[in-house]
Amino acid sequence: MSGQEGPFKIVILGEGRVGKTSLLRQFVSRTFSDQEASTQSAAYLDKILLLRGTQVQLSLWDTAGQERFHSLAPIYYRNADGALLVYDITDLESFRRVAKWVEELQVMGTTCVLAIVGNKSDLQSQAKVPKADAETYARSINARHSTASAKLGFGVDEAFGALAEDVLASRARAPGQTQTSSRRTRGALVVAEDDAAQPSRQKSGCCGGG
Amino acid sequence: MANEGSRPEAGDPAQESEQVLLTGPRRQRLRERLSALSMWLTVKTEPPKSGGPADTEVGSPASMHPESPPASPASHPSDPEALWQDLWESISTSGFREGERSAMSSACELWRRPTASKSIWSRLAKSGPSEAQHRDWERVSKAVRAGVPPALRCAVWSTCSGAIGKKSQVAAELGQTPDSLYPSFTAQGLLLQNEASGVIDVDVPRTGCAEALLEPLRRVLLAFAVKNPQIGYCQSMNFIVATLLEFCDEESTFWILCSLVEDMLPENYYTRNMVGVRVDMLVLTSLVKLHLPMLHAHLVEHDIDLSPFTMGWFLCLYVNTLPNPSLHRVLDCLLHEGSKVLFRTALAILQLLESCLLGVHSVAKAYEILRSPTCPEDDLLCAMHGLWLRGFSTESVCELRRQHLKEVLEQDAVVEARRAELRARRESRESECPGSVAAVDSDESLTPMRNLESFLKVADRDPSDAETE
Repeated sequence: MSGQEGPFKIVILGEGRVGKTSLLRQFVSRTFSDQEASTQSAAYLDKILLLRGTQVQLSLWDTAGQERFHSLAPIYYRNADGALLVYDITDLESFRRVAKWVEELQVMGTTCVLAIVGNKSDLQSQAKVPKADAETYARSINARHSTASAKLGFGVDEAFGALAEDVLASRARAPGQTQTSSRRTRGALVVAEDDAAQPSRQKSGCCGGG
Repeated sequence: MANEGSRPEAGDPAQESEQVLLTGPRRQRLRERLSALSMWLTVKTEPPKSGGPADTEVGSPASMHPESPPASPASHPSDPEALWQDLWESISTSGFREGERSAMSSACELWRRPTASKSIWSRLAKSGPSEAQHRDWERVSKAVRAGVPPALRCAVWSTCSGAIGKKSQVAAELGQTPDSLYPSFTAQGLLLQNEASGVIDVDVPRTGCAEALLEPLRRVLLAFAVKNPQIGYCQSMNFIVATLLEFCDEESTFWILCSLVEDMLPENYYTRNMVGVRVDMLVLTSLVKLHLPMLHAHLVEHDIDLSPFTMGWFLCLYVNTLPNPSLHRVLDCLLHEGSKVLFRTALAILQLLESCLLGVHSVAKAYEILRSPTCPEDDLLCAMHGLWLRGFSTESVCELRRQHLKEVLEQDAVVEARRAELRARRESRESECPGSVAAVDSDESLTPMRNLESFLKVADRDPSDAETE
């Protein structure tokens, strides 16, 4: 495959003020503001990424972090190809919320590639979330884990880039219609339950697998 | 008000009556506002660039066809400034009869929380307002649709939204003086230590309002969280309150917010499961199908879902969506006519964007257009009240809300059942092999949630363990 891929829908989930919007801004427009406005329900951004000579178009959905917005979230992660789960390395509670999001995606029968990002790596000295534990958890749900600093711009492109690559890889493996058998491939992964038929695997159509 | 059907208007003069019956300081304040208005009128000697769509029902049927723009606002016969002057003069000199007040108040209540059944309305219509009151109501509506002068917004918003009535009603219920309420809610709010106060503290500095408004914003939100513990605080209220504070003092803002959330919007807009706003998204889809069938068909064909955008429009009452003059005029209408204005606005925006949207075939392109809809202020107001929305009424919205509420509750029940099922399965697995923490690298046994409990335990570890990079 060469040329163009996408658009792939990526949704950013995580507790309030962990830096979801800041990560996106840094990724999309290389800017950062200490005074980033809180996100009202959701915001939409897009970005074209060059991955190994292929232009990959990403449609990025930033979401509000407050817990009650969980009930609205399906509108945003419906048919998502990837989800970036963000926590703040200085905030243990925000890390717990990642697990709640994973559970939520599972309950809704969403299948998409997952990546976990610990933001605010510039505040390493105040870190409260043990990195090894975060990595262990990420492996257990077959997600990538990395840290980033939206403020300094470290690890941001890497996080989105890796997620985009995983999305591409999962697409290559299961072009168009995803089959049950493709669910277990490593690095591209699945929030679906491992038994029980998944009737909601309707990812076809929207992006057309290239 | 041909658009709205006649019954809903029946109750509305009560809102004015509440104002007219004010005594003492309030009355004084109203007079001050009136003189502000006359000053505003004197200063502004130039006629307005456009008259505003005060008479859209008769004056400018917005076209059903996206190609032809709505009729020019210049064709409107009524001058908003003259309307306002006339209106306020008459309210300050005449007034409504005392005896009609309470019946009208309850009628208003029913009208604002649009769950009134037809029978209630026909009963009210029979014993309803006099012809004169009805005419007054129509004049208020026309004036509000033409745009409220900025200096009067606080007074008009407080009156029309029912905020003034609410304040005295709550005072009567609690056996306190009306003016002691807000200070008391604020005092309790400042002591609040819960989810609401936590999120408020995080959100206030990043609402993007003027430095001087930060503390008032925080106090209003905290006071609201005290008064409405079941709602607390919901992200997006910060933007609404910041906008109200641009025109209103802190206390009026608080009562307007209470009226809005408690009475004007459907229940559960901002509560935990946010059922109200989810229902409204489905209602909007039905209305788009009805009033903009071509656009609806196009969106369905290309699998373009509007709700990711419209959700934000509704929750924030178009704050951060519409540019300023348009936003304030939408709020004028919303605070007077109630939540149906949210739909009128959405439909008007979509109608104005229809030709653009029909030209795009990808989700991404459609989203580019919807991200920041640009609609000239007068075109928007015209489209909102144009003849093309003739069939649109409070009743049709109520009926659609009833239908879709059922749908949403059924979906929730399915999701809840699935959640319970997954939880049970996880627990039974754990009891089968106690202590087994996920085989991390074994693909086949991978179950995300199996690890959750142990993960949480791990995460609880002493923070001093935090690894340094």
